[in-house]
Amino acid sequence: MIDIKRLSFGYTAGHNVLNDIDVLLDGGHIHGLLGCNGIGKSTLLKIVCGLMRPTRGSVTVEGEDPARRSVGMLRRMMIIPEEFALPSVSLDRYARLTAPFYPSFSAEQMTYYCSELGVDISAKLHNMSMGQRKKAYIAFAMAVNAPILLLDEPTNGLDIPSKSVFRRLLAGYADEGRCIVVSTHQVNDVDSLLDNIVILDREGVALNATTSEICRRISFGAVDPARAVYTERTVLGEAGVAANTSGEDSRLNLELLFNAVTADRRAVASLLENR
Amino acid sequence: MIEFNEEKPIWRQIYDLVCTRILSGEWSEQSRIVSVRELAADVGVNPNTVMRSYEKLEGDRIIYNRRGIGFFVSEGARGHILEIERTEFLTGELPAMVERMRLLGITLEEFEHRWNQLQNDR
Amino acid sequence: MATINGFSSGRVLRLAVKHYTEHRSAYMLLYGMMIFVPLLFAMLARSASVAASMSMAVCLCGAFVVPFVTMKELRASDTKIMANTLPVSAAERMTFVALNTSIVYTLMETLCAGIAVAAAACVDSRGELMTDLSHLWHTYNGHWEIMILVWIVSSSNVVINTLARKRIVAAYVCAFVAVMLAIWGLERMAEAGMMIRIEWSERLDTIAKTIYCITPAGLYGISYLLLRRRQVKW
Repeated sequence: MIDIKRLSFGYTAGHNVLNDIDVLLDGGHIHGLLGCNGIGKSTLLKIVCGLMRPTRGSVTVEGEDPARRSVGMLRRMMIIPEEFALPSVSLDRYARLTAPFYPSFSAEQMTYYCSELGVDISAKLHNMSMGQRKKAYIAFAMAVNAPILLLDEPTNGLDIPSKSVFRRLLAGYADEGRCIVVSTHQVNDVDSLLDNIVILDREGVALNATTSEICRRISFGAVDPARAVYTERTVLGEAGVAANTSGEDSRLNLELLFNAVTADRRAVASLLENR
Repeated sequence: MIEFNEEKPIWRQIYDLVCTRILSGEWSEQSRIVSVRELAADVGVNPNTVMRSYEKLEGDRIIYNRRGIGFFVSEGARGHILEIERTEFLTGELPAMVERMRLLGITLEEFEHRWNQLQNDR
Repeated sequence: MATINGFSSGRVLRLAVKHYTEHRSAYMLLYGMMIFVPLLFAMLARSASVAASMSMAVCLCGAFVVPFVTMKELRASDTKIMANTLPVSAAERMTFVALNTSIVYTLMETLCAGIAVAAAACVDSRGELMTDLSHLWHTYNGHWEIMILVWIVSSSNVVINTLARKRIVAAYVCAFVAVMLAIWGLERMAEAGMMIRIEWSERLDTIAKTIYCITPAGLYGISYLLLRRRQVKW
């Protein structure tokens, strides 16, 4: 659904924020877009929305160039930005003003999401705390039922119970025909949701693999230090990342995976290639 | 050094969750169980992961799928589950336990004694 | 409604409703000031005609503010992502911007001026309400050129709002200075005899007037083209 080909982008000439990104994000999955702060995850999402054009390479969303910002495409896509302000109206009012632009919106679903997340539909959005505002907008955005849902740091600002509710709601939103992209550095908040992991680093896409591939080929945790491609000290001792030779799927540890890829992307990539 | 997985993969945990519910009687044989999407939304897990668990459960003849209707607990599912878990215990947990007993120098007599004590307590 | 991607006046209308509802306090403040400021001056001078002329001045100032308020959500860092991904086409959005900064604005400020003058007439030492209102009417409608001028200022400011990055006030100041310099430059050139002598005829007058009238439309058209290609970087 979202096809990114050899995309590079820089806000100013000569200084690229994104380098040679090549990835296909297809429907029926919840993709995790991971990377250090400032690596360009938000920038990539903005390009997918058509707010900016790539300096090199291309991006197509359901076969269309998002930069054209056609109404047909915009209706099928919803982005929940990391930081945003909402007008001085209630969520109820906001929905009545904005929903007419989205034919697939369901007021019933928004009410359901609001009750699950603990959002008062008649409270002024303007005055809400950051976390409440986020939840309110998440409720609205998910009720739009867009086939493409982009979330930029959705759990930032959410309290622990809300994060859990959010996980359940997003799991319920996932569908065959829907492409969900969660960009985050809080990997632990979403690890049960993701089934495709894309890790970005300065050179481009450091990793692009499904969680089942990763769990089949890679072991995490108490691994033989001699065979580990990466180790780190944890509270419980040394934890590492190594090839999975047990024949059984491992338990994915996204934090370890991320740290390993950051430390040595080629080593991790080689674990996925060998066969 | 033995490589082991500190925790089970999520799909495995879902598999175990379904088995537990069947064993406890919450889901009785020939009754319909929650759909993949419902369970995913219930526990906050990717539906593809839940699908994988259901496929494995189907492969192990614990549940079966009726197209357009949903997944149902197979007849004799409880028996299957117990059988699978017995095998897992005998090939996995038991050898590990025996190894540990050997390491700690616990004899078969000590074991039997404790076993009898526990049986009497019940 | 036409096809999904075709122009929809329904969407323009819904955009208007959404915009006015969400920005109601800004507009109430703006139009409130457009009543209050002339009225204040009129009360100080104890003359309703001062209200009429102040309204003119305030109207021109408002031509800088309304484009800013109309386009603020597309530019402000905390609203731009959501505003620019709202499913409306650039044509529909620019139609709303154009209508809001020209026709709607003119109607509103005429109304505000009328209110200010009527209110001022109550405190006027001369107490001649009807004279003042007709004076106001003539000021505005007798000189349609003024209305077009306001529209030219408005539409130019829309272009500036579409182009400018972050500091809109700086952009306005730069544009203003540029225009002043251009006028000064042209005057110097005329004095130095560098300008071509044009025979002013009736026909030339008609052409000039026509160009003058279509300038706002042209500027809105340019804004539309710019908006289509605009990248929401800053």
